[in-house]
Amino acid sequence: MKLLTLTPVEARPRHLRALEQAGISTRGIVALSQLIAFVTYQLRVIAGVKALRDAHTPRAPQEAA
Amino acid sequence: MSQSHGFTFDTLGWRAWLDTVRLDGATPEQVAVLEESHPQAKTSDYYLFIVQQAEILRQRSGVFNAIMYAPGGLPRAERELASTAVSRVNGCLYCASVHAQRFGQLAKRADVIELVFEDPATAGTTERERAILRYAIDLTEHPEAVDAEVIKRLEAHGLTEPEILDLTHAIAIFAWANRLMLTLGEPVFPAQNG
Repeated sequence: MKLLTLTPVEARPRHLRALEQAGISTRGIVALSQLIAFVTYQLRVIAGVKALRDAHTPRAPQEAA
Repeated sequence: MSQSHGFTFDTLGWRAWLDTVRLDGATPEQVAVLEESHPQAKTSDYYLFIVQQAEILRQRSGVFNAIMYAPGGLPRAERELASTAVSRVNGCLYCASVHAQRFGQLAKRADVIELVFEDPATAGTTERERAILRYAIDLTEHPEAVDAEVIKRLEAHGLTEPEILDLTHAIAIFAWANRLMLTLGEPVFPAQNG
């Protein structure tokens, strides 16, 4: 999960084989990969949208948390 | 040669590291999702692999195609520029080659892509392009540091709020796309196709 999130360029076939050896099916690997990759997308959309909002509305103090 | 740091305008292939779905064994749902995902999906290892989870692919293709191809908003060439830059930063040779070609088709030039391949941090033929590329790098590498100042820099170079929203999505969707391409298989270079 850390590999896929932070250093996907270092992924190799052996990483998928390790998931298979842990009993995860091919369909399971696809679902897991999509879920993790989706969250990296979601996080960036939220970061951009939040910055857009902050650029156009003064931030209320209670929103800081 | 239009190649730099391994990045290229050449058409590359891609092969999955695990078993793909065989088209003659695909369910009607899988075939339908392939057809709505991409014109060449039925002959693409990438689509034939991720269609193992057809409903996830259907949701993903809907998002991807809306972000990259919907009319209006940020010019499509600039979406492709951002996608290519994100792919360059993440090290996805395959994605970068596909979207470099699409930029070339839409913009009828490739100069800025050559600069992106060489060094995305300094690339850009105009101030607007440099602002787009800087945002693509920032949101890719440090999403937590993107703030109102970053948005104001984009607006100072003529990007409207809807355009920045489109740009944000085009950058973000390649966090997703690059990760699938990088972690589920590998590019195939023309010489290897034999």
